[in-house]
Amino acid sequence: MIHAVLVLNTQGKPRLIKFYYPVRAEKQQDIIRNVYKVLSSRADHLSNFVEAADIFGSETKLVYKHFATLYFVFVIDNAESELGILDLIQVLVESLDRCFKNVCELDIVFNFNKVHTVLDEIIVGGHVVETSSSEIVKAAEEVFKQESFTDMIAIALKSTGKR
Amino acid sequence: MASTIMESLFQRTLEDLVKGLRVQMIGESRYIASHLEEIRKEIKSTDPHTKIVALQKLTYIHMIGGIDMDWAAFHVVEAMSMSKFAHKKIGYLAASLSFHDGTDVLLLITNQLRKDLGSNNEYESGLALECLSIIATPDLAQQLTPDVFSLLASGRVYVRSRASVVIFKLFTKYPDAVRIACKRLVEKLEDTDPKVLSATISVFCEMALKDPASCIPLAPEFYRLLTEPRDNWLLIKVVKIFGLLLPLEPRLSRKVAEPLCEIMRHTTAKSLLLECIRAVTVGLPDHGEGLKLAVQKLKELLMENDPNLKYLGLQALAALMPAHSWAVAENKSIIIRGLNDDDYNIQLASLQLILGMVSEDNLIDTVHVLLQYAERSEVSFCNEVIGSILTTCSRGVYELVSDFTWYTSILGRVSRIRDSAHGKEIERQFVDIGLRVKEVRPDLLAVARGILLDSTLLECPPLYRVLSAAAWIAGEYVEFSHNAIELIEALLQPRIRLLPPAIQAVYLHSVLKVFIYSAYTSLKGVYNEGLPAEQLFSEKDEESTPLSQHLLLIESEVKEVDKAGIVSEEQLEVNMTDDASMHSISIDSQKDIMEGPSLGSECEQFKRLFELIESNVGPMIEHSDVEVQERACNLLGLAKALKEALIISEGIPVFSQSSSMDNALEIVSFLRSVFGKELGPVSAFAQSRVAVPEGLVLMKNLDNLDGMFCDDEVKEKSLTPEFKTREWEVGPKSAESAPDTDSKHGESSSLLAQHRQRHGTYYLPVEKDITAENGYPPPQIVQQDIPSTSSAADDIMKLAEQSLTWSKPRQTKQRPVIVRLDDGDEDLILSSKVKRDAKDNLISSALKDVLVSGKGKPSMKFTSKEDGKSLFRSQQHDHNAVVEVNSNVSVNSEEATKKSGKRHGKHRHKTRSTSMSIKDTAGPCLNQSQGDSHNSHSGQKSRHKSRTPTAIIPQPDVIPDFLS
Repeated sequence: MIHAVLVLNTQGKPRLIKFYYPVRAEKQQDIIRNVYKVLSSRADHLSNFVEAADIFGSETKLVYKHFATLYFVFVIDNAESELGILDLIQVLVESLDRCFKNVCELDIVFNFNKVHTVLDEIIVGGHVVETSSSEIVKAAEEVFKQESFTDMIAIALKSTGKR
Repeated sequence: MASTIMESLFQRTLEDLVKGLRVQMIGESRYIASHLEEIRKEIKSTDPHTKIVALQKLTYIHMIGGIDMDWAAFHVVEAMSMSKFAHKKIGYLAASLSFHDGTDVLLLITNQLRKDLGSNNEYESGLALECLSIIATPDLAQQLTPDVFSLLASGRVYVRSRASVVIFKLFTKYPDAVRIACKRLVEKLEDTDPKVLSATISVFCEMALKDPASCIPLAPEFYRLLTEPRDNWLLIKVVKIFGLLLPLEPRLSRKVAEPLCEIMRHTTAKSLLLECIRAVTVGLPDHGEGLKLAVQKLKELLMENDPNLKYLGLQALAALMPAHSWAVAENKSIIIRGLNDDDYNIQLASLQLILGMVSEDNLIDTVHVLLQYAERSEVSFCNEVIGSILTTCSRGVYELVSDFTWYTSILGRVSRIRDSAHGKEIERQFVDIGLRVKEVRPDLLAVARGILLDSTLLECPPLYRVLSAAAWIAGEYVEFSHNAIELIEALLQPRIRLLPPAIQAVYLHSVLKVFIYSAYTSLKGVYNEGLPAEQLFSEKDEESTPLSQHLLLIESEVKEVDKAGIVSEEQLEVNMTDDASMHSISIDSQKDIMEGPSLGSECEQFKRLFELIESNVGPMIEHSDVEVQERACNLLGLAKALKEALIISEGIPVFSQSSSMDNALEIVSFLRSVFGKELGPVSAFAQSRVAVPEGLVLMKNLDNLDGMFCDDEVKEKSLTPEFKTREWEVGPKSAESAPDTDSKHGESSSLLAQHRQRHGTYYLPVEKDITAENGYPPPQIVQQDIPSTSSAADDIMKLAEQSLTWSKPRQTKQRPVIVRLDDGDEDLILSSKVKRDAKDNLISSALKDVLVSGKGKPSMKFTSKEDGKSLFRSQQHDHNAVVEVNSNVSVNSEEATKKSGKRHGKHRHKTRSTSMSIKDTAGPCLNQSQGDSHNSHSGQKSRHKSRTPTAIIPQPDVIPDFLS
């Protein structure tokens, strides 16, 4: 299964953290630091896999991809295919790209719950439930629509309050 | 009301927070802390909007900054229960990011989750499912299993696919859920929607990883999925599952081999191809065609210049290596190039593969190549290479090494690598080879000499252990040295003070051994050469025994010692009376008389030796470490005594030089005989082979020995002889042990006595009488302290006597070419293996317990019965319309499936699900289900009806029909 999905920037600042098992906040930060240490020491032309036994326990691997200023990191065990997950990272980035129109780090910074929504359309409980980016975007947009519907009401309330 | 509006008006949004965070100048943590205060107020607001925005901000800083938000758990629950979807969603996000097993409000959310799971809005159910998949606890799992179970039958794909993931999570938290829901989860393997199918197979893949045996009964389902055209995501998982099942159930291989080969031939997806290669490696080790194809494809992958494929390909090769080394050999060039790769992972993988290919023939070449790489590469990889060379070469008691001269030179080379992390292992191997391989000792000494002479190594703490081994070798195998003086010089160079005390002690002891050796050889040389001259002398000194005769005597004594290992007291008395007549004499004067060039050089050598020892060992007498101090004293004392016997400082020649020389030679040859004993390896089980004396209970609890302390006095008395002889050795140096003398009458004296028995060497004698001659200390108290009193020769003899006792254990050692302690070495390996196996069993049975949980034993007796089989086979044909729910049917239904699979495509599904339900009900419902078998139900109905407790029970015997 997938144990966690992490998005870090090249300075080591976390941009998105999602663990598929409960982890305390301090421990999360600790893990982020260790993962960043590993990733930042690797040049770009190297393989996208790193053994992560000392961070996440035996038989775990980091599968990561470096896009512009961001690292997308998936933590997986033996039940996942490394190359498959690499494709999945591509799917995630594509979906984000479609949702935000040319996604960049700032989009992820300012829309952390939207990014979570997209991610939740792909992975549930550490298992992949959807791999087609168009389906993912469709579902995510449906969720956004439902959200903004209620948001609109709130805005309307707010504006009445202003007056 | 107005206040809430004001709150919401002036509240900072998440966007404000993020923007502020990006431009803040006061430091991120301070900025967050200041905001946290604000959030704490806002989150208590009665206005839902304000509350939600506050929660959203909190969730964000929790995720980014690792801020604990346990305190807000109740607000999270409130948000989850809000009716607006947007609010609810923020609440659920906060919950799934921040809740953990210790969150106390988890008990409050059961109903909320239940409500949302059953929501008409599929996205609301999705939220609840997603959240539950992460925060599920045993309690939540128990209470919500029925709800998730019903969602498995939901009409919406969105919900159904998520439900099958979540139900598995619940299984792991609440194993009893398996009974209720496993059957329906298995049915999802036939779901018409590919997404549901994909999620379900992913779940089964994880289950197979945890406990492959429990998934074997489902092999037919997986086989069907493997052969039907599917998307690659699903196929990868199916192939993975077979990779896990095949090693357990070799009979599957006949069936699965062909589809796997087919996929390998035609797929364009490298991820799928790689999975197939892995599955073939572990699952079809005897399938020639499949293996060939896999290796062929693997080669193609490795040829592509993609670091990812290279890394995974090398890993796959490593998996092939144990059984199919030819596959590795075929890719040799790629592997060796991998050593030069920029990627550390690829380097490591290549290294492992190369060492895996090592044989007796190519060991030398391989190691040379590897060392060249190691010396060029950075520290961590260099250490990795050296570590694996050391383990590979020492494997199976050096079974790969045929040329030990070469191997010692390699060890020497490896010892020079400054940042080595393997000092300890090199030390072990140096000593080990010395003990085991007699022939290589001269080479070993040469290597050790090189290491000792290199004074720069003294500055490398990682190599201290190596230095210690080198020093030990120098002392132990000094007889192969051409220049003992040089060794002593190396061992006594001033910079050894940089070493830790324990290693300095080894150095000093080695100096002692080398010194004795060189003294022995030179004295002997003097005798042999000076023999005619001495005979001239003997005219002057009638009394003296002819030297050659004397020498013989000594040698015979030494031999006797060799045999018996102990010198009888009489002998000692004799020696001592000899010593009594000992007088100092100047060899310089002797030299003048004899004018023998060799004699003169020997003499010079002695002088130099003594000077060396005095000047370098002298300061160590005041060393803070007691071990170093003690050895320094020993060495210095012995040297002084010998010097007095051989060289006269005042230059007054006394008569009878030969007899003083005799005595010196006697002493030295005696000590030499002690150190000359060969040491051998000791089996790790040596201790356990010593039979426990009858009546001795080793496991006894010693707490109730208090009563025995009353006979302290007796103990003290019995101990005293051991200490008596040590009176003379108590010089000023033993100041630290002085206080102990008084404690004799103290309360703790009994403890002290016990302690002394063990560590007696460091304590003062209890009685002050000097009765040295009669009290020869028992072995465990023996120390080689050197007296600094005037009766030197006397004491040296005593010393020899004492030293002798600890040569005893050495005598039993053998001298084979490579000493192998067959049972000992093997046993060690074996026992560790056994332990591991036992542990594995424990783990797998524990896993099975989780998955099978509380079910009765699988009905093994049923499944393999031949007549049962045939009976139901006929039945199966009778009930063309699906036979349901029977424990035995599992056997034949599968067979029927196989036989009529193509013709009755529709039935196949049903019968298969039958087989599952059978496994489920196998145990407790045996009788009932047998009854059922006589009534034919309609498949669909019975599937709903037969909601008897179910569980997957590993039943390997179910498969034969599938396989035949």
